[in-house]
Amino acid sequence: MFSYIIKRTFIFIPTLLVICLFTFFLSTTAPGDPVLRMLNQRGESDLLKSKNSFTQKLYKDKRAALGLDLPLFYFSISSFAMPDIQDHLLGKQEIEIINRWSIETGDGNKSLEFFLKLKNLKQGVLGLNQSQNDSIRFILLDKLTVILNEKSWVNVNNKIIEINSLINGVGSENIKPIILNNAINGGAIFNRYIPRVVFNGLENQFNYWFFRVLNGDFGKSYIDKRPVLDKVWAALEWSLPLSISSIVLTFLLSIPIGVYSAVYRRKWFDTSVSTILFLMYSVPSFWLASMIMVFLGDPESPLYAEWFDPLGYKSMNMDSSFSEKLIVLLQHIWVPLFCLTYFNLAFVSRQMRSSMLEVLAQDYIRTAYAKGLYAKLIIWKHAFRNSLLPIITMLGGLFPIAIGGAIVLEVIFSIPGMGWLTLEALYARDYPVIIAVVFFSGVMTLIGYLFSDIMYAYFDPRIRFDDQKAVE
Amino acid sequence: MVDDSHKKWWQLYFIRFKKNRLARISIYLFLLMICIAFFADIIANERPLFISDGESWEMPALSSQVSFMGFEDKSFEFGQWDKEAFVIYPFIPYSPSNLDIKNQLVSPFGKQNISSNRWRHWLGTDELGRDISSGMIHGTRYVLMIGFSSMLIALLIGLLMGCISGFYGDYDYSLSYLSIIFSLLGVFVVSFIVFHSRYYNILDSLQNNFFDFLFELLYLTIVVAFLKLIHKFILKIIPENTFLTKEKNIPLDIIINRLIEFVVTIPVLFLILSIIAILKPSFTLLILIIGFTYWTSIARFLRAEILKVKRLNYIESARSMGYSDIRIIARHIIPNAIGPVLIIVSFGIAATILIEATLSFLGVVPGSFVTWGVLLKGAREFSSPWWVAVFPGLGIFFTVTMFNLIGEGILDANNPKIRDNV
Repeated sequence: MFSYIIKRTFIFIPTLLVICLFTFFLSTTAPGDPVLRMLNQRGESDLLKSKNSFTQKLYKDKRAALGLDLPLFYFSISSFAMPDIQDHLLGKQEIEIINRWSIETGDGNKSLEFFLKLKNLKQGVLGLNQSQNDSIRFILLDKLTVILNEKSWVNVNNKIIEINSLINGVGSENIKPIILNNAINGGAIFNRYIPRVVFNGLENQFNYWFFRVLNGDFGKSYIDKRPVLDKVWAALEWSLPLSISSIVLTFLLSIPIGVYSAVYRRKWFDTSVSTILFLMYSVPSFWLASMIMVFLGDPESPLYAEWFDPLGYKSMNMDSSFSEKLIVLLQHIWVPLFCLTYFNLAFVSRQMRSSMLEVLAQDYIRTAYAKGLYAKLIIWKHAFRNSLLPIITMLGGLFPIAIGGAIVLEVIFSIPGMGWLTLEALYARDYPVIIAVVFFSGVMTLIGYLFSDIMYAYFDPRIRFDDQKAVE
Repeated sequence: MVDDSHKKWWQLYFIRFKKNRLARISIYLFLLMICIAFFADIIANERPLFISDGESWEMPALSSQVSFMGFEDKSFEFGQWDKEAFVIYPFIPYSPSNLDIKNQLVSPFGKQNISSNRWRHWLGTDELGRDISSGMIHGTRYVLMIGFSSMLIALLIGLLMGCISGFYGDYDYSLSYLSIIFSLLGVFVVSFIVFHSRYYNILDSLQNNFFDFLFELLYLTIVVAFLKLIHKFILKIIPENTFLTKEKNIPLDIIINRLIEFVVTIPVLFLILSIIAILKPSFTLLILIIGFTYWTSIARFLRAEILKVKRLNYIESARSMGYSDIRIIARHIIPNAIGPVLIIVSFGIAATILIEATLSFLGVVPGSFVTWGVLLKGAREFSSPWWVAVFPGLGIFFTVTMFNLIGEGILDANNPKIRDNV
């Protein structure tokens, strides 16, 4: 048994690694530039367009301090067409344009040079005296702006010819026509199909991210600059009691209900309870919660009762002692707990009932009855144990529902738990918190599955001793 | 006894299914719902069905119906026709986004500010004056579309994965080392081309017409075919019984199970919310995410059933007759194993409806569409009276019940073990 647990825990680790990878890459795709955020700039244009060498140095230093100038992962796969971009002041939008031009032309370095030349040209045109050829100047400026935002290289080609003719029209000495370097159109087109794999060693963002996470440092929230881990921990303090009690209650109630429904099949208990459960299963939890709030929680509604306070849970004071918290918990948790649990309760009860029915139809149960064993013994010692297996499999599946399904309920009942934290982070685009929440929910779900696997092995000896055979 | 042996396997399912009265009613209601969803523009629309002033006539409601089916929408101007024109309106003369300012927050039973009973809001309006009944009718479209599309994706992936892992298990599939090398190489090459070399070409082709996209697919197919040619060529060259041609067992079952474990660990709601935060909210994204996370249930149950079915005698005899694997799977195994899959699909549609309603409730839905979840959200936001919240809620409740009953019907039809004469 113990060796099975060890084995299972080892298998748990690769999945954890995959969750880490997934979360990390999710965080790299988040829009916005973290360096700019740290420097409190609103948009890219202010800082990046400035030629001030001080701001440039500031940007570079901050970026290096955040570790963002390192490559992303232990190895990078790109093609020979990509340029070596050293100048990070270009900003995400422009880097995307350069990437696209590099791939389409096949020569990244020349595309980068070309792009920078165009930018300089635009600066030069902006700096011309007002007197000469104003209309042409404006058209030129306009076309340059368009071309600097143009993603497709084919269109760029076409536009360059117009720009060249306009430059000749302006006729200033500082501005020379841009000659489309023929080497770009040459045979480098196939460079993009040749992969280039670069090994980056241990100096990469993922490595640092990973070890930071192992130390518990998820960064600081964008909203209030508090460490993310503190926020998540505080939210968990609210959510975990609710989730765990929901799962415990589900099992405590649904197992007896399922067994009795199966044993007294088609009697009044079974039919009435089954119908009620079935209807419960179809009601959306947030709708029920809203109805409860509207009809029973609103002082103006005719059904309001003083003692029934659905919002009571959030009045729990986190700083009081554990026993005080427990008392408040037991008083007020029932309404959110009910809303969270009833769905799972219905589902698990029906499953219990059907698996119990299947077991009761077996021949050995019939033999036991024929032998004259006590009915209670048959039901609880033989039938129940054998029908428990699918339920335990479902235990693993309940964890994600308990964690994720509480989101809406937390909003309605104003409980500052994980779901509420997630929503707040989403509305405010607070990416460090979002990433941490995804990571934590993944980890908790994994722990839930590990737990259910261990319980499954405890109840079913076949798993322990013979895991070569595929068991359903 | 009636001799049913000449009937096809799915006909036997139908016969058992029909005996369950609740399930039968649910199927009829489901067909009714499909009709309502399909003809929603004709049932509830602010444009008239038929308008004519003696000389020319037009059927504007049909234009919106036709535009829903993919053709172009002809716009309709009320001002073109003078007041004396002969008009026939649809059954509910309001569109879901039609703001009736004179009638905000009117109750279905109370006094409404309307000219005649023809224009009555039978289920009331919300705080902006939108007719609730029209919203309900057009909402059925979203419900069915999202439910079916996501389940279709989940079904495709789940069937594939479940069949492979169930049928081949851990011991029945082996490839030569050369084939392994080429498969991995093929995967690498295709990913490299799709995500790097031709990434922008593919993105562009999706915006333009369909043939550009077909061209990209053709390109990939040619690359893969080329790799296969090299593979065959090398096979011809190297002699037999070298290292490269030795067969190695590939434990497909374990691989697919690991994959299922990974996908199952991700909590769906969190994933949807996070991805929607990073990208824009849209229905396609929602359908894709639900499809790509739900297939695991289908695969797991299909695998369990296949494991039971695989040991039966007629599978063995089919193999000894030399039938190819695909034929055995498609004609013998799947019809017997499909029962639980259908159950999961119908429960899945119910779950999808609830997920969509939850997301709309949280406000994470694309712009201007009016679904049942959006109506519920509006109900909560503005502390609206009972009719704004009750009707969409009842709609969701009845639809989910309907799918659950269908699922239960299939469940009972599938399981001959639960008999009455225990």
